[in-house]
Amino acid sequence: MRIEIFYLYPDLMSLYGDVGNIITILKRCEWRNIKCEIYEVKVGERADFRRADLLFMGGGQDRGQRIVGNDLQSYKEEIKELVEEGLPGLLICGGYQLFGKYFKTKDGIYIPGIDVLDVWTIGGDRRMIGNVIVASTLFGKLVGFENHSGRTFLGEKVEPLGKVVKGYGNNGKDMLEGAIYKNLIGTYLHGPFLPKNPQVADWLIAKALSYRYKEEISLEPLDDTLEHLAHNSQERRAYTAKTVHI
Amino acid sequence: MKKFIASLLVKSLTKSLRLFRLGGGTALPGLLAEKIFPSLLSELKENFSKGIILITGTNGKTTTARLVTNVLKAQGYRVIHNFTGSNLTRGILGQILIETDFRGNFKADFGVFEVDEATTEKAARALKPRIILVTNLFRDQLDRYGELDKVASIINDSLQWASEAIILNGDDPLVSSLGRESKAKKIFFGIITPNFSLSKSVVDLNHCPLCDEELAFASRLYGHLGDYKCTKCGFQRPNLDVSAFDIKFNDDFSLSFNVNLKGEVIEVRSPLYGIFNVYNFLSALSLCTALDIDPKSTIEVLSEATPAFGRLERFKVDSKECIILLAKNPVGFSINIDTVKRDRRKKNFLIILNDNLADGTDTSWIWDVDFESLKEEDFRFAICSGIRAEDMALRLKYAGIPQSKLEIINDVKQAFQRAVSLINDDERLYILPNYTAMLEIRGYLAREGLLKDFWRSQ
Repeated sequence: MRIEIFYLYPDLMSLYGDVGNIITILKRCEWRNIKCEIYEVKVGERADFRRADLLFMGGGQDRGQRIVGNDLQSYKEEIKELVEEGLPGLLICGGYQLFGKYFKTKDGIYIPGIDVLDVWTIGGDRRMIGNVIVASTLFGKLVGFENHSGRTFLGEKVEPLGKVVKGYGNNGKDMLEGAIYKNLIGTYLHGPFLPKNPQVADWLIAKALSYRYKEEISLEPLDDTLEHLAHNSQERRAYTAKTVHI
Repeated sequence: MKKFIASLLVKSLTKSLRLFRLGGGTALPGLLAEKIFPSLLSELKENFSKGIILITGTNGKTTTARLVTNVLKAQGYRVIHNFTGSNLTRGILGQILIETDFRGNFKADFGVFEVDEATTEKAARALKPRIILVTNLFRDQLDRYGELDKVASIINDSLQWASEAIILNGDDPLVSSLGRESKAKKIFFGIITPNFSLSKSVVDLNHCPLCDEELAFASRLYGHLGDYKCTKCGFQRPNLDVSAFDIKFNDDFSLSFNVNLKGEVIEVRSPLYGIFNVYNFLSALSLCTALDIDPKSTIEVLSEATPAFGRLERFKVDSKECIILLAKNPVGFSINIDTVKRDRRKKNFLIILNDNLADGTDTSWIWDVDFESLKEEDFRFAICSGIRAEDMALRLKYAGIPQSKLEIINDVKQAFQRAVSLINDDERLYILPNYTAMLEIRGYLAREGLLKDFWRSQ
């Protein structure tokens, strides 16, 4: 079996160790003898998203998001259609925002997203930074780190990834974190989200295989002792670590 | 009176802190003095007869400041330098006050201060330096700084306060693009045509800082350092005033290279090691040259300088050799791995990862480090320690290192003792700590008499 991952704009959208998620999917496929290929989508080229079995996009600086935003628009209809058909993916921070309807900066500038997810984002003054714990109906307890000034709000067509137990989540107000639509996940838990929440990694791999081979495929379990130790260590720090405000 | 009280306060507190080994003890007393007398730092600047120099950037601040101080002292100048690495304005103020006499007065020629990137503007506004030097800019502690472009913009704002010169790393496109509005003289340093390729690490900047077009690199040393050009707006690596070429890493942890200083080529051998230190050497040389100090005598002093604390510091436990390599951000860590790999002796690892405020509370960056390249190395164990030891062990697992080689011991002292018990006489133990982890392990080693306290090692 094999899957092809489309890694969107790795040179501009991999801010906080986001590549850790790709490494995790690669390894967890390798350990199960699933062949994994990565196609890096770069600005200015024509990628054929019909070949993709899994999408991944990380977060970037304002500069990166500005450059990438326009390019992504050219794939809008194609990606929308494929996601409706069940193409799975993981979008983090800036990637999550760009897949939404729009981003309105705090200066009132309107930046359109590609409207794949029924979410929108409003720029804020204060960055929301720190360890996060999320309770998710689909995945159980999730841990991660967030660092964003955008406040994201969910429309009716998406479900939240989970409820915030500790931290800020989408906007620091409604205590919801992330969004799920069909097999697409958006979240503010940046960087190495998958290694410490391996059940999400396996869910994505299984969805990618099922999407490619058009049949329900489930995975062999792996020894996740170390993953759980790291998960628990971060959960402890969510309660004890000091955080900064900038 | 103000100076007297502040000086008394800082001195007594610092002495107590050091007595009880609570640390180098200039930041906390400095903070108190700053709170009570907010304008004090700015008032004290008048006492420096030859002016003030600020050194900022992601990596190399501590070593560069130390090198420059050595040269100035060798010239007979009186220098105040925040050698403890406490580099917020409180640390600078604390250091000045501790060197005052009983009336709160002091006499100094130069102030040589390393300054935290996000604090550079505040420090520059208060101190009105003669020269500001920017070493490089890489992603580091993004939970404190937000993003790299933000840091660059703060430093850019600070450069207006440099009255005489701005010294910039010409190989770093983000750094070399700074100070365009400043009227001060600009001096660029860099490394020409690397004759080696370094461990790959994440690249922070692929696009032109002026027009966003993708940069074309004729050569790349590591990260985004290299010989770059923007095909759209013409922005490119500037002509280098001070440069190095033909760099050789010697087996005895020394460096050999040639320096080109305004057309004159000088051969250098330095007991410092690692590519970072070539940059540190060049930045110190550029700075001293800008201060009109004779290059020959500058190079003489620089060629004798040993590393700053925690930066490739070597010590022995019985006959077992240990080496501490501070590794606190992705590019620094990746370069350290490269350094380790050049060592052909058998080696093992103690990696210590903390997530305290001074480290950055976000440990995500370890996934940007090229640990995959350690896979080919022949080592028996890697002990992971510190508050976030589990994260480090997990990272190594995903880098393809067999779990049988990994061990998690959160307590630093226990982890060190275990590591030492495991290494053989013909092996080296590489200790790779991030910032507070380095202070922690050094503190322990100083108490054990294996290393000097860092405020004594000056």
